[in-house]
Amino acid sequence: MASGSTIDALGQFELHPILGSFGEALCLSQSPLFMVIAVVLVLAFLYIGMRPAAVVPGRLQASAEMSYDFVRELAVGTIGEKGTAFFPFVFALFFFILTGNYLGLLPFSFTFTSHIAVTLALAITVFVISILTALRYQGLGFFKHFMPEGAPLALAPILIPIEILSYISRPVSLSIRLFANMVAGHVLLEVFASFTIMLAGLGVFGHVLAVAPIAINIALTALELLVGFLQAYVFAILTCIYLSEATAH
Amino acid sequence: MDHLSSNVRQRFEERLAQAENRQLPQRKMRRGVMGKGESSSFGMAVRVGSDLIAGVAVGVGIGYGLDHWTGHKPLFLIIFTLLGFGAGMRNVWQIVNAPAQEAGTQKDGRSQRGQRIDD
Repeated sequence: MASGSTIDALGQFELHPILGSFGEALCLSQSPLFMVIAVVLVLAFLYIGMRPAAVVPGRLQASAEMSYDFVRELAVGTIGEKGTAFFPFVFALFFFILTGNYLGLLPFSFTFTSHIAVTLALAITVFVISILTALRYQGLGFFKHFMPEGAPLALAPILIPIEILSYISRPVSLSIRLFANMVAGHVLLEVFASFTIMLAGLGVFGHVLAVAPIAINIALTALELLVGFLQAYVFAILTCIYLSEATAH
Repeated sequence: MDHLSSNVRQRFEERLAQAENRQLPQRKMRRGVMGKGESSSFGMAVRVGSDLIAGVAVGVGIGYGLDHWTGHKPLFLIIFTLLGFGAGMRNVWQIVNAPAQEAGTQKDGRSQRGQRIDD
């Protein structure tokens, strides 16, 4: 929050023990709490949505079915027939990130996807799974991909390290993208919100001007809704692309 | 009765398989048209930026770690930063190059790149 004339834009990402002494003893901070909330929300959405199991679905059931279809199309369409095996993973990943991004937009909440520790953990999970899948489907032939076909052998000492680094940079890129987008969006929201408070302290003239940052914040919230979905989608589809490369021969 | 129901079931499985086969190529095509997940140019821009940075970051990280480990202070940092930059460029090249290869032009001559397919 803005105190006086300084803007503390990063204070919102600090972790604090929650739930009093109970949380302190468990080192429980907002981040895991909101992860649990996100998981519970997704599970409740699917469970309550699908409970009627009606042939003609109601609104909630229709949205649950659409979300299933959407991710299934994504997974099977990108990976191919083997995609059905990875569909639950991609579904969980997509909705965990999407719910996390959207939960963060609520007042007094916390965005767990704004911590690189969280996003890197997710990305490394994807990375390890795609390596294991590649070894399972391609065997040791997987390592042939690190030498581009048709390249002169003399360039191998340069090309192979570059290819390996490029491969290793995938989880880093995945995690940086999600984390940076979330941090940037929330910092912007915070900065414009503090402008409102600072302008409000300037008297009548400031009161009038303070409307402008509020208007910008409304627009930014709309943008954040787009970015939150887009980043979850990009994360999911890149997971699918990596897995499709791993399953291909 | 039992025989009949199993027969019906088998026919159903056949029809299901046929229907799925009809669906599959279409799905694949649609996915190919959509490019590799760039649902907007904004998403593409973010991807390119983070991929470039990630390559350099991994290079610097590995170089710094090897320096620390072996004690040849600036040697590996220099080598791996340059390699990392190459890897970042390689990432970007892959992103920029991929949709153009599979998409090409549509029947009416318009380019498919950067176009949204919403259905």
